[in-house]
Amino acid sequence: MKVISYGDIMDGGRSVFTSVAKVDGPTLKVSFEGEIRIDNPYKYLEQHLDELNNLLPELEVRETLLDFTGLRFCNSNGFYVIMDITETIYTHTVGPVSVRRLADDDWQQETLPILIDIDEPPIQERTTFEDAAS
Amino acid sequence: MESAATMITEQDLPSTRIGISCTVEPVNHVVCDLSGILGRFSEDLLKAFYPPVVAKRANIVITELVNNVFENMQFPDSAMELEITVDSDTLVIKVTNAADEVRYAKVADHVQAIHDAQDVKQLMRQTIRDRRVGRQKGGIGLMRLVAENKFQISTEFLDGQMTVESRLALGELT
Repeated sequence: MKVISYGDIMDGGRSVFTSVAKVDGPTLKVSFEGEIRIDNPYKYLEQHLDELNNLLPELEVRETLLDFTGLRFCNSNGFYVIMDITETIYTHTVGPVSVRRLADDDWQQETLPILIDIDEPPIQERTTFEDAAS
Repeated sequence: MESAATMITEQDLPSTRIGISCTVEPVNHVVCDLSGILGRFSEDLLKAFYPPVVAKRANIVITELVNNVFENMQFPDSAMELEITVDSDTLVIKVTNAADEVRYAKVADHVQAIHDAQDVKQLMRQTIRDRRVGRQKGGIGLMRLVAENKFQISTEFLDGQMTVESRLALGELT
């Protein structure tokens, strides 16, 4: 798979969160890893979001995997940026979206569907959740 | 002949009583990620005795409540107190800091709105949607503790000190 965009959050001189978008033909995979604890994560991920907004319309993605299993922690300051990224992906792609998440993580089970806006029928129709063990 | 030492099994561990308290004063000296330090430390400690889900929930509560103190700090020379107690029945996390009555009334109204909601997850969904438009900070953390992590929250005000308490019945979690 080819990396098309990479975003990370630096805290105390080290990377604490990464979002990596890769494509392989019509398949897009976006992996989220680390922790979001910082006050304004958007400041760090704005360029990544711009790249996704610019690149995805050109790629004709027809299948997407969003992998949250490496995301260990997300405080409420991180909610908007997760919404920004997932909204961008849903807007600029077509086809099914598979969301991999941890079966025993409260945030991934309870709040992540709200951030993806799973109650909206067009989102719901495209989305399936895959629950993985820690 | 019976052994004097009782064999402790893994099943016994979640009946261990643990108390943690931390005071930081003055709060304006905090330039580190205090919520992260306290949250991770508490998660590591509780995980040694309780299931990971309990320890993780403690981390989330500590993170949200301590962040609230610093995002809404009114009295830079004052103290912040964190108190955690857990036993086989209940996990209780309290954060106390100096506040005026106006600030307390705002928090108390927010807590009451959460209590009054028929569906806290729907309230959180709508609040996130509404606040995202202006990228507004705050207003979601306490809701999250109830909707996502199943805590009961309350608040009280005494002698200029506001306390927000989060309480989780462990029940089937242990």
